[in-house]
Amino acid sequence: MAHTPSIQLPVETLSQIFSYLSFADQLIASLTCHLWQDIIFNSKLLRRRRYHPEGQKDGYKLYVQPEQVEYHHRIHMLFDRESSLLLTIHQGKLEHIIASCNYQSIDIISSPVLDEPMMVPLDIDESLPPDEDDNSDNELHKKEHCYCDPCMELTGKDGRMTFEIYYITFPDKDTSSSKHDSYGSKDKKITPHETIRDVVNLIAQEGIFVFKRHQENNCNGEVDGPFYMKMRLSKDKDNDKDEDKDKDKDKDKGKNRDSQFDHAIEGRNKGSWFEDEIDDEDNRRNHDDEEEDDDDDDDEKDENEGERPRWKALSILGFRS
Amino acid sequence: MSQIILLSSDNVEMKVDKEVAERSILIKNMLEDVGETPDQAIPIPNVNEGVLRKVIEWCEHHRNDPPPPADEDSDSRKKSTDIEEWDQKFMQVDQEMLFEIILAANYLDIKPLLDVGCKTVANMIKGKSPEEIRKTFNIQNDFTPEEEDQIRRENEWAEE
Repeated sequence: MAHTPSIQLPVETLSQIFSYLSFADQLIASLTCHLWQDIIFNSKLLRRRRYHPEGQKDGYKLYVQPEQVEYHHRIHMLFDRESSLLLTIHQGKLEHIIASCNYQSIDIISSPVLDEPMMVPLDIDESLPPDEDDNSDNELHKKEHCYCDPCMELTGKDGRMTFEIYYITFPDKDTSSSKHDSYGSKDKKITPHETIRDVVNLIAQEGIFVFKRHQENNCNGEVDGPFYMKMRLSKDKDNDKDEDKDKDKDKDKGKNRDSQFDHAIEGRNKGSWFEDEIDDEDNRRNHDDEEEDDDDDDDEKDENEGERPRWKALSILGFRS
Repeated sequence: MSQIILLSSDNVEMKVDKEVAERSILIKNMLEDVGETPDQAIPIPNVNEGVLRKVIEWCEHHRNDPPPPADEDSDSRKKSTDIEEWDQKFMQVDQEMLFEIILAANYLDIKPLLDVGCKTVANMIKGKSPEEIRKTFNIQNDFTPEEEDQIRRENEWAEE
């Protein structure tokens, strides 16, 4: 296409224009040309807003207590709501990172947005509000983490793992003030400062380790993760689009083609996670038995067992910063 | 009501009410510096007649608007891309004019007009694929083939 030069708007103006776009539209606009990409990922205004609460007003529900909101504001938009990231891993390599926001899904695997810190590296300190999951129910809490076993079952058809990071919450009481103080302000171990890419790669490369380490830690009654990430093995890739839509739009319709899926949604809406976990545990046991076999067999199995819910694993992860 | 004369880049003189012209902070400050209403035309070197007329039309219509909040709370104008009806109609111009208006608003420092212009452009971007955006704004795709490849894949997902 011949490029007839049209009027060039100044960078600040473009930046202002992009500031009126949703995050999803910004991501898409960034694929237009280098200049736009540069502005979208380097404009301070736009970057700051990616950690800003406003994003949550666009009809998103926050799964946090009001008193937690202050802290949650500072999470990158990619993490601050459900079904925001969908990872597909094939043979240990990330194949897709799908960000879904505003009913749009976009593959951001090579996007510079991944190089942004997961959280704004602010001086977040211990005024951390207590975590919802972190009340007196320590017993349950520990137990929950112990569910996080074999990553094996995260492997789906074609040896592809597709799972979704849909919720992140923040440090437990255990990681609070005293500990933080002892690190001093220079060494902010408690504040997660990884880029999104770091986090995602960690999951891709060391998923199993992460699981195990965390499991051990928690069985010892030790909670050292700076955050928890809820992950769920997602549906088969082919069905991604359909189900994404269902998730977003048919939430309340009680579509019953996948009862466990619905159930999970329900649990989320209530802000309670435990039911899901428990239900999943049973599910998982079955899978453990089945998946002793080679991965190659999985394909057949998946096909034969149409009844089987596709949402297999629901786990909580946490790991060190 | 005192009037002043503006001189467009193509040397066309236009008489406007001072109050209207002062929607432009640039002109307002200029007039304040001068101290009295000048008899001579004020040159607006970056804006041609057509665009200047458009801008003046906007200023006429908005002459009685309250001044924008001094406290530039950049977060308050925020995401909303709502544009009032008159402004929407006003902005129904070809793209070149739209961009010219934005540039003029920027130069003349008429913030509310700049905002409307930017919102209008933002609305043109919304919901489009990268390729559609390029077409709309006649942007050259300067990504390498590898990057392109990536983008193609990304488009697959963006289409919904």
